[in-house]
Amino acid sequence: MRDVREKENIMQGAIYLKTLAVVAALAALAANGCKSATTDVTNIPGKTLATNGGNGNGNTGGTGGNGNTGLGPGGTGGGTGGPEITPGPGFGPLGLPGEHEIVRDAFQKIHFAYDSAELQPTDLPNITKVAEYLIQNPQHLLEVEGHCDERGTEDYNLSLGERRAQAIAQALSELGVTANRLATKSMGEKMPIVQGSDKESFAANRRGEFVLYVPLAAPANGATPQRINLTPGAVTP
Amino acid sequence: MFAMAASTWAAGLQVQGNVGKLIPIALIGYQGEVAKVLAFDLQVMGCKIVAKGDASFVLKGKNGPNNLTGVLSDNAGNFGFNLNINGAAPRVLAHALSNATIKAITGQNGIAHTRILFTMKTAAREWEVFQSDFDGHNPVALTNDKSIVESPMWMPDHSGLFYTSWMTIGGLQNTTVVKHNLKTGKREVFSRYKGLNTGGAMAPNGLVALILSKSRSTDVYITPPKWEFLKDIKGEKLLRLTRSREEKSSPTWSPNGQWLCFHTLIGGKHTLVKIPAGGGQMVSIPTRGAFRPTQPSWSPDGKWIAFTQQRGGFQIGVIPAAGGNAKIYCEGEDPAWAANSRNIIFTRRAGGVNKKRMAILDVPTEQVKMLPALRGGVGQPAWQ
Repeated sequence: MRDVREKENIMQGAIYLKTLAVVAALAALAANGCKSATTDVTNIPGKTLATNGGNGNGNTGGTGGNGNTGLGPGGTGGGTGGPEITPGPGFGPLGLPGEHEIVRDAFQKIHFAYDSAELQPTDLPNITKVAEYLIQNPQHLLEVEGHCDERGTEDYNLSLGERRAQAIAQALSELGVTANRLATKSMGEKMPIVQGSDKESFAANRRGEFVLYVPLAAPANGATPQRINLTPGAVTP
Repeated sequence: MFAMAASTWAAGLQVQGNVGKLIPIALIGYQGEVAKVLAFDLQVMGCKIVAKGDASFVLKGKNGPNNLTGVLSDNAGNFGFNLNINGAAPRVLAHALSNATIKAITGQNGIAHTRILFTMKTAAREWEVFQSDFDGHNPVALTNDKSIVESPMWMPDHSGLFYTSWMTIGGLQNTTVVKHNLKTGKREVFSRYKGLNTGGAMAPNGLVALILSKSRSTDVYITPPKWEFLKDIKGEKLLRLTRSREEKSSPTWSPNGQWLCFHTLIGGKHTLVKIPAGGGQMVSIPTRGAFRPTQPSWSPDGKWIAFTQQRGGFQIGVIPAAGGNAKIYCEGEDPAWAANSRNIIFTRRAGGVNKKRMAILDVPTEQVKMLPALRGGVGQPAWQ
């Protein structure tokens, strides 16, 4: 069982700080936008890899100070200014609240038939346990990941993975979990848990996974938030 | 850039009558890398390299460090051109001579100077977007996000691209459509709604097709002109083209921007469909003879749609744009047309999904040329 933890520094409810964080992320995105990763590429025999777009107009500095080493002149820094961001409807890309930890694999995975996003009656007990946990822990948020096996094109598997995640999220909603506490994310075929091209591997990789976002306790005096004593195994069905 | 001096350029060549036949051509006098590049380019564009005695055309010349000459003639002695090309790297010079040769023989513009985008696995659980010459040489990483990335697509003027990235912003990883300016390096979040964000297919008039699940079902949307995500956080200005729970994938525009084609399921059956850009009825595109068609790609001349068939493995097929009998060409997936509307770049699995290689199909002659293998598996090429 893996326990992936992540901290962030966005204060709950402080929209302007969220805006700054997103703007900073955009700036970081721009800063990393065009770095060459030449060491990750096999040299074609007889040819040295270029670090530039091919027309010899390389740039290693950039007027925006963003370290752009890719095509053309440097970027403009990105994310400067921009409108204030209003969070989206509920838990989602723009709606993640304060400090939290991420807990994976607290619940059993849901598996799917080939090329299907239909839930089976046997999935209901597991999904019900997830719903009961979320109802008993109203501050906790849940992301549902949808995964596919490799027997499909990348484009289609991305959409199929999302439909699988949506099917599980819909079931949780129908069991009483507020929709704005749920997020979905398709991983397509990119994150298999079993490497292999046999039926067993394919079946293991066609799945939905649950990722809990557990808020850290926030003391009123502004001290460092404390981690809630959550043991993933404690909620494993 | 290179300079091309034509001391003479005559139109006296005997043009091939049957465009479906490989063009036998002899290459005489070229050495090393230039000889290899000329042969590869000409084979991609429908030629067969043969001895002089078997050739319909002869390209004769020599190459130096920074210059290249070429005299083209046909086997009847008709004169094509006499070119002296200089001022660039040998591969660039060779690509220019290949294009000139194809133009003189067929009247069609060559594609040997074009570039491609593709994704490549660079480490465990990491993929980046790369750009390279059309033949896979000179690859350059355009991203360094150390995350997942899929579906790179050119903007129509090739000044930039869109792709789908699993980037983390505000502590949350989410699919994000990124717009990337290749001239400045500047990137921006083009779409990052709750749920799935992919697509990023831009029409010639600037409208962009997105596939989003912000309303729970995965549907196709179109952005209005000059639309900005940060000014439309709820997506109220987007035109929603579909309303159904079935999967949608691989949006591709007709070259006139009037139709958007994509893949979905109708009655549980994988189907290629199209919808008017302004919204309206979804129209099925018949793919008779094809099994589980996905990944449509509309040819630049508007006449054809390439797609991936899944029967056992994956195969590349082509239908008339209005639909009809499908012709299946070869093993492969991820098809994308070249600007000449006759070459298709695609990927082929070679020992697993993470070891895909790129290849190019010449549709009229059905000739396939594999591109050099790169260290990581590649995917979803897009042709300039």
